[in-house]
Amino acid sequence: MVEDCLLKMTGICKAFPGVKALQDVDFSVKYGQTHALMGENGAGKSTLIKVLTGIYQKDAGEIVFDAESIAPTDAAQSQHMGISTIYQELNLAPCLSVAENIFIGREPKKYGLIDWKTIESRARSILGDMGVTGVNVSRPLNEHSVAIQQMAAIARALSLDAKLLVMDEPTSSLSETEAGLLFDVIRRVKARGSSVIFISHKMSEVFEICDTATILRDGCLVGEYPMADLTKLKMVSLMIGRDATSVLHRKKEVSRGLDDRELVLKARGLSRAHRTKEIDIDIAGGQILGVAGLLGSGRTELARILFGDEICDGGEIEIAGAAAHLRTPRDAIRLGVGFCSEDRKAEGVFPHMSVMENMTAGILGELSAGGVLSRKAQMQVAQTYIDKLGIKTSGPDQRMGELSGGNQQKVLLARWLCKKPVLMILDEPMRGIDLGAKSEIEDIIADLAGKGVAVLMISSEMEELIRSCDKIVVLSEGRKAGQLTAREISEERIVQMLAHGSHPGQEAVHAK
Amino acid sequence: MPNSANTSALGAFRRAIAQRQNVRNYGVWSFLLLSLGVTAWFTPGFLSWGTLDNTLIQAFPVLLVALGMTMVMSSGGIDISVGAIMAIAGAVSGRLYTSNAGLAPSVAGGILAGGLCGLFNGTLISKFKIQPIIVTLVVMIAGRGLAQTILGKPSVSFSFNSSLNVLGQYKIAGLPIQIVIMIAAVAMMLFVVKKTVFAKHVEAIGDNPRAARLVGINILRTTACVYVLCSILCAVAGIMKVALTGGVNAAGLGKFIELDAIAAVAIGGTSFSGGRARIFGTVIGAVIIPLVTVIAGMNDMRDHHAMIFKAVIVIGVLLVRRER
Amino acid sequence: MLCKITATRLEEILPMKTLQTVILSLVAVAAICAGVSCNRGASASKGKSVAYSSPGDANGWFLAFSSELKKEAEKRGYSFSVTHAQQNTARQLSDVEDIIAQKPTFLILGPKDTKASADALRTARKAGVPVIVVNRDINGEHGADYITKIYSDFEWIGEKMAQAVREAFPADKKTIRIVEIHGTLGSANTTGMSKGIRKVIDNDARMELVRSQPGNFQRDVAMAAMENIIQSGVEFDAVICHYDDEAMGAIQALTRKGRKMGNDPSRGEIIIVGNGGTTVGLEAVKAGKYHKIVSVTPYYADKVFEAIEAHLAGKKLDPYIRVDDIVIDKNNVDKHMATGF
Repeated sequence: MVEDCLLKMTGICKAFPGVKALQDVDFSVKYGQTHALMGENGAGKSTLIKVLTGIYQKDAGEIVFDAESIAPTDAAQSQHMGISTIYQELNLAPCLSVAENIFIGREPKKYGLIDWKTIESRARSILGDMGVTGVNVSRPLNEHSVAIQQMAAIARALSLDAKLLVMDEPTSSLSETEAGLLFDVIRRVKARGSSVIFISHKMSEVFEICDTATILRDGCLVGEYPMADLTKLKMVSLMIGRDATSVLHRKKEVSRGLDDRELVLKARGLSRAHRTKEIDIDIAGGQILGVAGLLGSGRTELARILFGDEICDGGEIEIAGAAAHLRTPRDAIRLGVGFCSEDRKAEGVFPHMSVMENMTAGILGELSAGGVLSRKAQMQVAQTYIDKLGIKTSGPDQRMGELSGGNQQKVLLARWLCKKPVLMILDEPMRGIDLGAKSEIEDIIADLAGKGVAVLMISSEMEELIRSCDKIVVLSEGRKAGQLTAREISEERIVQMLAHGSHPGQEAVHAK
Repeated sequence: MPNSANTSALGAFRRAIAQRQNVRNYGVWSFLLLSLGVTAWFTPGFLSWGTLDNTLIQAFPVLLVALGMTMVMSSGGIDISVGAIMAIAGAVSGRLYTSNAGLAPSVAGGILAGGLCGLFNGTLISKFKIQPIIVTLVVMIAGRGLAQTILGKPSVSFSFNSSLNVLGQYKIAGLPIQIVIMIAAVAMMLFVVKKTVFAKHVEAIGDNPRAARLVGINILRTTACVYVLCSILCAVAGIMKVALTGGVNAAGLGKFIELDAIAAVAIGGTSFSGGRARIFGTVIGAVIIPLVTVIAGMNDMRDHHAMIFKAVIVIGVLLVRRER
Repeated sequence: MLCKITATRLEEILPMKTLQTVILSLVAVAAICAGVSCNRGASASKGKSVAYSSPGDANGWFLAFSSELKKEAEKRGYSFSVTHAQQNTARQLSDVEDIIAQKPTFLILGPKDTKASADALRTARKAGVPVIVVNRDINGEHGADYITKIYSDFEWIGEKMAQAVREAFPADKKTIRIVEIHGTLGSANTTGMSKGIRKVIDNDARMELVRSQPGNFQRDVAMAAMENIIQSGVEFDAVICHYDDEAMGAIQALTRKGRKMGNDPSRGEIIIVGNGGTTVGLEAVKAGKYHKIVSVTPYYADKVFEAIEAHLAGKKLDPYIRVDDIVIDKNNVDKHMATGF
């Protein structure tokens, strides 16, 4: 059996301080196979690839590649062995020509000088073998489309005699036609006998191009499945670890008659580039709207558009009955919108400033007279919310960076609570927070809605949404795949919508 | 943090001293006291009002510029055009004064010119998102040319009893005017940093610009104000230096002061990547640097030796200060 | 045209509004330059003509120097023209080309730069115009590139400054303690003056150089240096500065520290001597604060024309003719006020 496997990783373990990123994972790829590596964010896909390519060192396990045991210590070494990676952000030199990029570092030389003729003709022939023609290989890479740039990266890998190509979200910035071209190339690569590891969050692509899928969840192997045995529904269930048929009971009362209330947010046809397409959203005062969607579904972009951090290309937003033209977050804040980013560290906390300063950063104007701050007023606000939200801190003057994730999140929530928003947007409010704090934050959110605030909550955790939300919108590949009212909310329905994208029913034909 | 610095001998030494809490916090002070003690021992006439007077008068421009630089660095930026702005302000004041505009209008004109330079810097940096170092580099080079053009000749002098020269040598309650301005400027900046919304917004921008935007801080206005404030302090420094020396040399006024000011801020402990503005630290830093020159001059040290001496002191302070 | 070329390059790196600002400021700068451009051009007349290419600005010193040349030229029946290069070597080279095109009998060249201005010598040599070098040194071959060089000698100036200090004190004064505030290290002027000063001090047992610190020809640097020297407690009777601006800085420092300066050591006044001849320096002499200035004299037009006529008479000249510079003190300061720069 071993002979037909190009790559065999067994018992791979990798831990980071406080996190077990990979636990005893097995993964193997056969010769000439296109193998999908699937999993939600944080499942361990990237870590596994980084262990394979030598960027991380494994803690335990064995890697056998082309019948040899390997332990690469950096990316160059693994490339030398025949493993090439094509990343989301291409690691090519944009100002060099296509030909130079293909041969960079090993340019054919003549009399000690670069032999341009050879370099260009060889570049053309490699691209030709891939079925890509009509590319001016002497023009700088950045003058070509992203698809061609990707082809150059693949050409480079092939010219290095790559036996295994790792493609991490290769289609994320391609149009459908371009993606089709890429798939043709992948088929040719496969025909040559090279293997491909394909990572994508676009389920339909995986079903189109891959033979086999290995699914990871929370750093553990779920299993390896031939594509023929899988349906989209089954794959999503495996990825998120819920049996799609089991239904959890909600914590909340099913209906509170909120739909009759006046709308705080009314958004129509929100679009931005090709990441969000024609999304409509309504939230009434006191309502908690959940947004479900896989990574790359446009969920975060939606939040940013509603907060004015990204400007939409099309669509209309009404906040509290008035048309809103949001060009910066300040515009949204003025209208009473609050926002907690999914990336607390990069976009939320001021790590070197105090808890008090973090909490009052948005209301300093109100706590001052003539530009001079009242420390007393600041302290009062800080102490109030520290008590109210049960923030564990040595005092308002403690440095924010020293707090735990859950307590930081509470401070950030307090930052907006003290501004008394009409609409609160929460992107992954419970990410990276321990269980106890999670339930406290759930209570804070419920309390907020209880006061008549409209809440939009994004989460990749199904359970969180089901427990908290009155209504759920499911996004898939930038589109609104569906909406579930309080009565309809169930994991099964959400999973179905996630799996089927914006074309529900299509899968039903194939499903057994 | 398993990095190479910690495994080196220096790292071991640092860990050893870091074991005692507060060494870092009081290190700069101890270092300062120690070096003062050593200096007093081998420099006759060191412990006197005259030395303090010399040091403070020579620290005056560096301190004012460094106070402005502290705010700029607190916002995560840098301003290397400070010397050129001193020259522009000095040139405008000098030109106005020699055209018989009178003392007050000349001084006001210089300060206004400085403020405009700051507005130019701030606008390009915040509105057009050009790197601070690039914008201020351009102003650093072009600004000096502009100063020379404004002045009209390489240097201009004022007679000994002209009001501008009298201003430069003026004493208030027995204290030179420079020292009085210095005390006022430090007091003002301490107030700004401790008490105002503006300074909190600056710190927030420096600490995490993305978060500052998302919390609704007006980054454009705040950043522009930071550079204007810095430039006005530079202008005061430039004009007072012109008054003190009784002449303007547009090519030389404030030359290389950006280096002293940045070193002063570094010694003072304000992070180069932004965040908390440490005014008191900057004051210490801005005094240490000219103090070294004073010591060198008092001991008849050759100029090139004095430069090395200065570098050694600055590195010494920074090593003691170093975080993590 | 220049603006346009610059613009196309800048377009790629600057946003449009910035570009507008840049273009506008370029235009403004160009306008200023055009406004201050000097009186160039020389009129060629029949008979003997001389043209002077000045390296500097149209300031007091160079105006005095060229008007002396003009007076002397008219006296001797030459026509005369002048150009000012405003401290710009490239400009001087084009000035010289313009002059040569008009075929003057003689070119009087005040080189901006020892090396870079030497191209002007070749231009003149090609056209067969004889050159007399004035103001400062230039690289070239005596006899082939120029007839002679006539200018001040900084070593001599250094000697004169030290002598002026000595003369300020009574003969029975046991020791004369001197502080030197020198110019930028490495410049020819600094080296020359330092050498001359030491030559005199080393040969006089009474004179002692107690401190030597840099003033870099700048007021503020000199002022700080002087303050630190005063504070160190070292006793001194006289200060020699390499330039008027440094002397002004020293005066400011001494004044701030409550010291007296002037012409009478017996009243505890510190003697300040320097090199220069700026208006401010002359005013300080007049005010009795600055003892003496050894000035680089602008009055040597006669020497220049003597050399010209000696050459025309077929005599071979020495490669260098020294100008005896003038010493300005309170007795003759009024006479020199007009030539202050």
